[in-house]
Amino acid sequence: MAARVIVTTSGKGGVGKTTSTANIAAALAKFGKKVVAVDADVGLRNLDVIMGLENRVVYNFIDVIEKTCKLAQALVKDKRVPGLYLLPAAQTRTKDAVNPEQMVALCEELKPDFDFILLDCPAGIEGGFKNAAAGADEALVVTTPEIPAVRDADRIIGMLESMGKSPIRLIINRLRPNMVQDGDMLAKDDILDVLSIDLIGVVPEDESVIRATNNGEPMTMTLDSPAAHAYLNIAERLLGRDVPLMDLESYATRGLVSKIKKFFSGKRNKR
Amino acid sequence: MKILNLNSLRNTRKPKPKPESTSYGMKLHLPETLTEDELLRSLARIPASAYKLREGQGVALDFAGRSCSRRLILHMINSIVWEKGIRVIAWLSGNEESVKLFRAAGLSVSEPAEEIQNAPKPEPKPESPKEEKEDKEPEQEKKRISGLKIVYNSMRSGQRVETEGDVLLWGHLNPGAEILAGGSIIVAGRLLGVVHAGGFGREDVFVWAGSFETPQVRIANKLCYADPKSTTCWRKGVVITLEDGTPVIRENKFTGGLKS
Repeated sequence: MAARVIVTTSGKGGVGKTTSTANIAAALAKFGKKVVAVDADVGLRNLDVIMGLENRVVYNFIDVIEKTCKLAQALVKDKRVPGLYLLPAAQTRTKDAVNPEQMVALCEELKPDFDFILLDCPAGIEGGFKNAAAGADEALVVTTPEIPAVRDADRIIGMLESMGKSPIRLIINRLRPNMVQDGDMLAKDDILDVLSIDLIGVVPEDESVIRATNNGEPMTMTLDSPAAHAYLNIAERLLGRDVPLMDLESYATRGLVSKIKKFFSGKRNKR
Repeated sequence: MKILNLNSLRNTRKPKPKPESTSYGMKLHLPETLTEDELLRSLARIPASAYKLREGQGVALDFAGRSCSRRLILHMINSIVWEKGIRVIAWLSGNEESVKLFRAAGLSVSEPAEEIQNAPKPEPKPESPKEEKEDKEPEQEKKRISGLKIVYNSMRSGQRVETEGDVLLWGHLNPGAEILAGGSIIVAGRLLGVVHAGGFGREDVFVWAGSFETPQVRIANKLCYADPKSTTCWRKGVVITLEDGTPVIRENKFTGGLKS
């Protein structure tokens, strides 16, 4: 077994890197793959919370690098999905605690035991990003349909290209089909026109993401929301399956119909 | 075994005048720690070719906090400036007495950022006979082509190209990407980032874009803003030039003889 090492990155913060990592990791594990999600955001770890494993974290990957513990001791196994593991980051250290060579060595150590290694990259283009990206072969760039996020994604793609990562694929997160139809949000094609990389999935804006994040349960474990389906599709595409993009326009229409219903039933949101 | 103290070696080494490349040409930092004679000797050792700059550019001499004597100024002008044919455009100093002396001698004492904008244009060369002129034009053309930089990929945010010649970008210039060229700039695709043609003062340059979508274009010393709502050429092919010092944007309606 030689794992594919994929970094999830974006440049801009708050676009859904960690949520994407957790959900794609869980989805890949559901498809029978052995997956480890590595939280490379040293000092600001969140992946353990989103995966609902924070109570079980004892060691972290800095401990592994510094040989305070063995790799197997630091890995946290998710009991809900067979084959899903988390390698947490240190919360009490800074990003200087690790260097790119150490990250490469860590990934090499993980590779024989897994099918996929997903690295959750911190925001920014400095050391934290470079460390996380150093260990990866492929990249998933997450962006939201906002101009600053797209510009930062463009910057990150340029850096990933110069580091020789390939393929670099795009996830458009939190797309609101209603707003796109009204011309108030960048459309998928607008973003692809600027970024010029392969699209691996579009995740619609979905309230269930917030619920799932707070409950510590990746959505792809339950599959009862549009975002969950979108992440599952992304995982399938990572496995090389030909899965068509979701029809987000139907969500937009559904949203409009429900708004009209709410309007006539007097259940409008009071602001 | 002989052990050398590197610090002591460093201390015995005299600092040298340090050139710094600037938008107006060159700024020459003159070390304060040298005596006046040492400074003159040090400057005399620099060959005249080192001061050769493009037309319209010059050298700013930065004396830092040195208290300059009249003798030093006279020797500088006599044996360095005139001797080596340097075009000095500023005499900079942090020492008040030195600044007074420079002013009294009629020398410019301000940082030459403004000067370059209003720098007198080189005098037009006298018209040569027609035959000679025709011979010289290809030579001039050759010079420009040799300074052409071609970029075959789209430029992403954060990427920057800087060159003294012309630039041909065979792709898009994404938001956050920049091109600074001494000559003209052609962006074959979408122009979304920042371009600065004639970045070192040349006004006989242009910007050509396949699709004009940037809110700002810089040509020579002019900065132009474009409002997507009021610019009729927005998202169209354009050529932007300076005419009588004013930026002019024209839609590219040339279809290469093809009927649209």
